[in-house]
Amino acid sequence: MTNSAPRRRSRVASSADARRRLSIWPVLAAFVLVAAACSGNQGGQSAGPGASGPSGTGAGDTAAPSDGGSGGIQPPEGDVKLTVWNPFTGPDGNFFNAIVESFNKEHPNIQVTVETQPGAEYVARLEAAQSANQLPHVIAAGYDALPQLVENGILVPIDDLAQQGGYDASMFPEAIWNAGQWKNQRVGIPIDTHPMVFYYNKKLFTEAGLDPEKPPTDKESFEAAIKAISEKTDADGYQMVASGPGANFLVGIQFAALFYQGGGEWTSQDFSEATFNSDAGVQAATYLAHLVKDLGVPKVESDAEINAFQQGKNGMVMSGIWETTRYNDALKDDLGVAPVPEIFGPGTWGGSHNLAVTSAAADDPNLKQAAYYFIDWFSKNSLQWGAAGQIPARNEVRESDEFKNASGEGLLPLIAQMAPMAESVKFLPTIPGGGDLLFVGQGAGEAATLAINGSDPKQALDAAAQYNTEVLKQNKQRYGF
Amino acid sequence: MSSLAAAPQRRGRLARLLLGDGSRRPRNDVRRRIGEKPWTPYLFLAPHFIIFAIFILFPFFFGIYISFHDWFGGRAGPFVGLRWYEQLFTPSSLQFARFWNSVVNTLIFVVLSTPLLVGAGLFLASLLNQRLRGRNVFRGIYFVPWTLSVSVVGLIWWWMFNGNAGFVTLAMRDFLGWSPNWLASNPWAWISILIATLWWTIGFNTIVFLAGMQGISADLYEAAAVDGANKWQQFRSITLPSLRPILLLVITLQIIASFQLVGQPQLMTGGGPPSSLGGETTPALLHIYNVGFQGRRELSLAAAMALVVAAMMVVVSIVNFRLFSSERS
Repeated sequence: MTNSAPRRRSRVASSADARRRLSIWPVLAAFVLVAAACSGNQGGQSAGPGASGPSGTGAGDTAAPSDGGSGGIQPPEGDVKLTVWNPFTGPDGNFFNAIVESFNKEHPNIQVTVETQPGAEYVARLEAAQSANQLPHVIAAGYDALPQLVENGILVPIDDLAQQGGYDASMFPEAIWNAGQWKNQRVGIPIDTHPMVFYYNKKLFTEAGLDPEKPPTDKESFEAAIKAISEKTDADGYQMVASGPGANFLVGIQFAALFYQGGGEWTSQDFSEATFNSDAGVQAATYLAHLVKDLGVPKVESDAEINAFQQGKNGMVMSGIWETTRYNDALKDDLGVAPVPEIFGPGTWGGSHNLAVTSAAADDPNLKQAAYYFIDWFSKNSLQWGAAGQIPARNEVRESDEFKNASGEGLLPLIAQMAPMAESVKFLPTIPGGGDLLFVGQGAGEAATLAINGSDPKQALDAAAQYNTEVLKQNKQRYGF
Repeated sequence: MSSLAAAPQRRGRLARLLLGDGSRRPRNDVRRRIGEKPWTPYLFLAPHFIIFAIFILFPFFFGIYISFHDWFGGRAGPFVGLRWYEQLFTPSSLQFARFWNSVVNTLIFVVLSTPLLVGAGLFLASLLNQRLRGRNVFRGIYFVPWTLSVSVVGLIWWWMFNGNAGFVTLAMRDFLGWSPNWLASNPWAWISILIATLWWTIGFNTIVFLAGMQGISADLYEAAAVDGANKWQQFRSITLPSLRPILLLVITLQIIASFQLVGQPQLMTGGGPPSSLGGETTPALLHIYNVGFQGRRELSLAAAMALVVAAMMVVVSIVNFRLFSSERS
């Protein structure tokens, strides 16, 4: 033992020092505080592996919207500067900008400025803008975000816009129209729907002896296709997400589609009880588990099924329509799109973007008029929004020859093929936290994921429904609905 | 750092490391000589203190305030007293199981990662303290990952381990004919997270240990060598005891850092493999983040959880410090 210095040191640092040693506690505490304070932001919402949200799609032609704006809503007098926010960080943002550009060209007295904010921070940025008195005048947002934004005073009801412009349920598929409503007031004008659709690889279909022009339409043909591709090609017929950062979402939308197909309702009529543990829910979760258990569909991590489909290692996939660009670029002519097979009946999960008016535009009549006029104009000219990769919400746009017979480069022809899905898409209840029923921890998506991993579907859904009923009760009290 | 290790022995070890040696000078004389006013030191402290107050002190007390209210969905709410704390400590409440599951997950990670990261840091530092060619290059290489952000690290290791096209997964399948489902089953999910964390943060511990080692007088080693001590004996009897204050610092910082685990599982496993308790690798801070900033954004509940976890971190730090300072070698 040649060591002596440290020993001496510890002897010196004895009783007399105990008092002084106390002085380090504030420092230690500071470390802990730093730790606690910093931790919230680490990791944040950074892109993560792959993409599991409707961020963007689109390619090809630039927009050249046709003439519109001759409806009931008149443009304002005098010069108006309007600010519009959207969450379209993908290529779809360019389509939005192109539409706004033609609006600006057509209306020299209304100049619209677009600001794109990242979707993950969208609501937080709106809240910050609200407290700084810097709110934009119009925003594009998912229907599910609207009630909360109205409750927080960021958005205002726009019943008079609907009245002036003659907007009613006859102009849109019913579910899409109803999703823009909160507490019996109109809070958003729908511009699109982005449903989950069915994609398949035509080349693998041919290899497996299936007709590449006849995608599966029901349970029997879907399961037959899974078996044929798995057995006769090197690829999997289907892959089931069972874990990973996007699992609740990716399993959730498949669960929701089957749930809607079986006639499920998320909550009781008055939103006081979560009812996704009904027979329709159990049936949906059981079916997803059945694919793994009985058909040998491999369990994969989230986004793996998307990557495998792109690489031709997975024959069929059900994804949000925003994946079309990705798949189209990877598979080209081998990409087939179709409505989701009717396992239990028609129906699919979907989202819907709405245009809404903020409190910043509510007080100034001229600003308000400009905001209303812009929304009306955008809705009428939403054909080009279809080229961005989403199905236009307005019936007359979807039924126009221009849309139906779209051809050539770009996404519009593919989107037109999927457009009938707009009729069968359904939505979560438009209430604050409505999306939580499906997507966040202890929601239906997580219960379905547990079922895929071997839990009893009924038990998993019962536990999730019980939790969500508690949450609904709490929120009914908080928001008074 | 090297001067810290050799600092005079007045204060407690950690205090000395953090606050300097505190040796007394005839202060008033000096002040008078350079025209220093009594409040001058506070002026020097002010810039940091202001930032500290705004970004740490204020949020901390504000967090306590929020935890006694019902803030949610981005808006303020009424005072609810201890409601959230009660829920966290009532086994029948709907919050209980998931919160404590995430705390247990965090503790698992702390227990697994602290010895690993401290031990590996010590080992690497010993290697890099040798006279070897390209020593500085190696020091740089081991330190570089520490400069990356967690999102980069998470993505890199997601690409290494993911089950579809992960490099490690594919390589193992090719060469061994088998690969575990790294991110989707345990213990592999924890092992992947540990490997990612090791790769990411080992440089910091290594550099701190290295600095400590360079402060140890070469005479001690020479004397030991003369007495016939081999390398291992030298390490045990000279290096380790001399590094004790540094060791205390590194272990304390490592425990705190491990408690803060959030980004790696968030990006690599999503907190999974899924379990009815909310995920087998969901650490407390990820759970808190999900509760406070996802979906309904239950900010008050999340604040209460954060304070409970912070209290645990303080307790663990105190215990750790007591253990080390009461030991006598």
